[in-house]
Order: sequence, then C-alpha cells, then structure tokens
Amino acid sequence: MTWLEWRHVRLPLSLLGALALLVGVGYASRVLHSLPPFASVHELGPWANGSTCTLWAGLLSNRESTCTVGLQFAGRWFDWWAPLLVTLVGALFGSRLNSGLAFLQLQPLSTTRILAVRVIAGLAAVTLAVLVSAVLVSTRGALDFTWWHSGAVMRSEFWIATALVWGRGVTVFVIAGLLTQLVPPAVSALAAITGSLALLGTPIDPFVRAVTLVYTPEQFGELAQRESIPLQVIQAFIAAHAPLRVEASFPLLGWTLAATLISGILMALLFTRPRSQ
Amino acid sequence: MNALQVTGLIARHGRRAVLRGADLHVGQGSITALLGQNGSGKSTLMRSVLGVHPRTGGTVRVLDLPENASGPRVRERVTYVPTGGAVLPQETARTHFAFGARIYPRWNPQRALDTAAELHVPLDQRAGRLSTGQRMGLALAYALGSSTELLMLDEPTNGLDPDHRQLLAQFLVAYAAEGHSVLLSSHVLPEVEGLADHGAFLKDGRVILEADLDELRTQHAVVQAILPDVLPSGSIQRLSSVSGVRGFEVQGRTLTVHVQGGREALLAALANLKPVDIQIKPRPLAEVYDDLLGGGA
Repeated sequence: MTWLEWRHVRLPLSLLGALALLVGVGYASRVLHSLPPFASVHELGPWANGSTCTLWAGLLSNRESTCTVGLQFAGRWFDWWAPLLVTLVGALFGSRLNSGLAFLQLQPLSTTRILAVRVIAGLAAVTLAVLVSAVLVSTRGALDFTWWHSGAVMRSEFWIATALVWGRGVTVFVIAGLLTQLVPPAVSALAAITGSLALLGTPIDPFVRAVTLVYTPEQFGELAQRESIPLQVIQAFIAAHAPLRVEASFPLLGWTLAATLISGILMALLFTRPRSQ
Repeated sequence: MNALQVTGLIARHGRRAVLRGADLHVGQGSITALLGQNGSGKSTLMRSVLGVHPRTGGTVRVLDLPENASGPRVRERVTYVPTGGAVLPQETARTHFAFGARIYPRWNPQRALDTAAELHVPLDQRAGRLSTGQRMGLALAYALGSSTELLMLDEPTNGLDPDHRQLLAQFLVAYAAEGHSVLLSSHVLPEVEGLADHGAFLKDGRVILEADLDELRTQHAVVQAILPDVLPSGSIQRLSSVSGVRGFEVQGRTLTVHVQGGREALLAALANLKPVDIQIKPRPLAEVYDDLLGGGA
C-alpha cells in the first residue's frame, strides 16, 4: 500500500515542492526586494493592528485605566502565501482520500491501513509545505526580532505561528477528507479551500493568534491622546516599554482544534464503513 | 468442501431489503452462474460475501475460513470483479500487476500478462484512458493473476466483444480446471449455457432454484404434437392436470406442451388425442430462465 501510495503522491508532492519554492523565492525576491536580509523586522514582525486607551476619571477613577496594543501572529510574517499553500495542499490530499477506493477495498488490505497511509501522506505533505514556507521566511529575517525586548519569546512565537499555519493545513485536510465521504472530491476540495480563504486574516480566523499588550496610561503618555498612531511608532513604543500584562485568547483556536478532532474521527468512521455501492 | 456456502443471507440498500434470505453454494472447481434480473441482488450478494456490503443476517462461509469471516483474510483468497471492472484510473496495467504481486501470496504474473495480451490490454497505458472493454480486460487479467481460490465476476462479459467473450470463457474453464471456483453473474444466457456447469436463479432476494445446468436442460422439455384435427374442447383442462405440465401453445393442429420432469404421463395423455406426429426437444435455457424469473433474459 505504501508503495502504491508513494506512486500516487510523488507527482503532486514534487509539484507542491516546486510551487512552494517558486512562490517563496518569488515572494522573497519581489515583495521583499527592497528589504535587506535579517533587517526586515518592520515587515515581518507581528502585526500591530491598533491601540486603544480606556481612561477612567472622576467618580470612576477607582477603575483601572489601560492602553492596549493588539498584535496578530501568523497573519503577517507568513502573509498570504503560506496559508494559501497549505490550504491548497490540505484540500488536495483531503479530497483524494477516497481515490481508487473502489479498487483498493476489494484487495486484501485492511481499510484502516489504507486510511492510515492516506492520512500520513496528507499530513506529510502539509508538514512539508509548512516547513518549506518557514525556511524561506526565516531566511528573510523573520527570526530577527531586534525591536522586541524579548527575542527568545519572539523566536518561540515564530514557531507557534508556524504551528498555526500547519494547523490550518491539517484542518483543511480533515474537512476536505470528511466532505469527500459525502460529496464528489472536486466539490469537497472547493468547499474546503473557499472556507479557509474566506476566513484568512479575518477576526474570526482561528489560525491567527491575537495577543493584547496592556499598558498603563502613564506608559503611553502623549500617545494616549492620539487617535491614529502609525505602525512604526507603536512598534517603537513596544520596543521601549514592558507591558503591564499580556492577554491572549485561545477559545476560538481551542474550539477549532476540538472540531477538527471530531471531524477527523467522523471522517475515519465514514471511511471505514462498509459501503452499499 | 464448498468454495462458498451462503445461508439465509439478508442485506439491505438503505431501507430496501435486497437479499431476503438467499441460499447459495459454489462447489470447488465449479463454474456457477448466478442468474437474475436487474436489481435482483446479484451484485449485493457478491459484495456481501466479500464483506464490502453490510450483511444484516445469515451466514457466509468461504472455503475453510470460519463462518462470517471478513476482511483481508477473505479477500486474500477471494477476488471480486464488479460490473465494468474496478481499476486504478491513474495507473497502468503493468503497475496493477506489480501491485498484485505485492499483495497476493500466489500471484501468477504469467497468467496476468497472458490474459492481458489475449484481451488486447495495453500494458503501459493508464487505466483511465482504456476503453470500456480494455478496462474490463485489465480487471479480469488482474483477477486471474491473483490466483485466488474463488473468483467472483459480476457481469464479466459487459463491454467485451464476441471474440473476447469466447476467450474469457476459455480462461475461466482453464482456471476452474486447476481446482479454482468461479461464481459469475450474467444476463447473457447463451454464454452461461456453454460455460457454467451450475446455475442459481435469484428472484426477489432469494435463490429460488439451484441446479446443475445439464440436468436443468434435460428436465425441461418441449413436446410438440401434430393432431389429426383441431384440439377437442376440454382437452386443455385434462392436459393441465397432468403432472409436470408447465404450459401450452396451440397453433392450428399443432400443440406445444412445456413439461418438467417425467414425460410418460403427458405422452399417455397425448396418445388419447391420436397425434399424427410427436417430437420431444430439450427446452432452451433462456425459456426456463423466463419461466423462473419472469422474462428479461
């Protein structure tokens, strides 16, 4: 089975590898053309998406006044192409889960084994695409967080972001694999791709990790009075001040991972069921 | 030992019961024809034997395996070719055979290659680009190459031209001569008549008759009598009561009677009519099929 599966996936995997290299090199050489290597921090760092100050005075002065800066990870440094690539890879491999099954289920092979080989092939393809993306991005300075006061934290954030992109690919793979048990492969692939890309970068995208840095109004100083603060000013502020606390919200990601797990189990049950025809 | 023993098999398609207690046996080394109209459950029966269609009742015993065994250990010894043949569209015949060699313990590469050559299956063309007949030829070559003890073929002659049908018949006879068993379903009765030695008639989800086809042929006869005059009134009723009589046709002075089993009683009854001539012929299997299954052969 592994021998046959390798024969089936070697062409799409080669094409994907070539596509990843082509898009990654193209992105690095054109989009980041003006940026020197290892100095592209403003482009490749976390995406500061605005600041909000809530100041309490008078009778309500006993409440805590705060200024917050929202940061989004996995939305900026991989930009659009890594999530897009893993979405395509996940959808392709998920939708081909039943490929040739009419023949394979008549062979002396257990359905569990066929499923296991197919799932491993899909996960390997998604992982390969993510790793190629990560390598290409890291060579352009994504690991250099000199403006951030805690480089070690940011390096871990890079890998968390990588994991989030991987999670997107796996979820798309599972959804496409589940749908392909119910509808034709082309429809399942299209539905999974559309769903992933429609959410990409939106506030309800579970694979964008939002972190909020909370400061005191005193730390913000004059900035607290301004409504529209340029990105580089926010980044300079973050570099110079340690936040009062960091708030991160994971429920959406948690729910998504739970739903992916349930979908995976459902997919396996539907795949291994005896089929009427 | 039977190659296959099915007892009281029940299977459904959704809410519809397709098999309602089907009994069937396939002897070792025999070629058994499973006959039935479209939708009678022939494919479902074969798929249920293999365990790829859910069974809701009854027992299936394959070779010396335990009752109701399923999974790879059954499919290692039983090959099933569905209608139209199941193949991997993106792979060539050569790759199919290389795959077969990896998963079937008694794979016979020469038989697979010979069958493919005889059925004009290109070895290096993707299966998805083969014609219907070539694709069926590939599926049959793969099945014969597997050298499993029981071969189940669902409408195997679909898509094959007359020459290839003839070749397939030869392959199957040679395969059975090695001690393998074959169960095939078909609507093409002339081929079954010359090929199978055993027949099972499936109707309304049950096997209504299992018989040796030669015996069946000799049991069912057509007795044709030319009478000196038109048939006297009341004769039909008298003949109807004779044992074994299944039907009549009257054309002028010619009386044709379909009879099953012993003919002595009928001949005695006809003698009273003083016929000018009487001829007894074996009844074509297609007509027996029509009688048993309600036409459509």
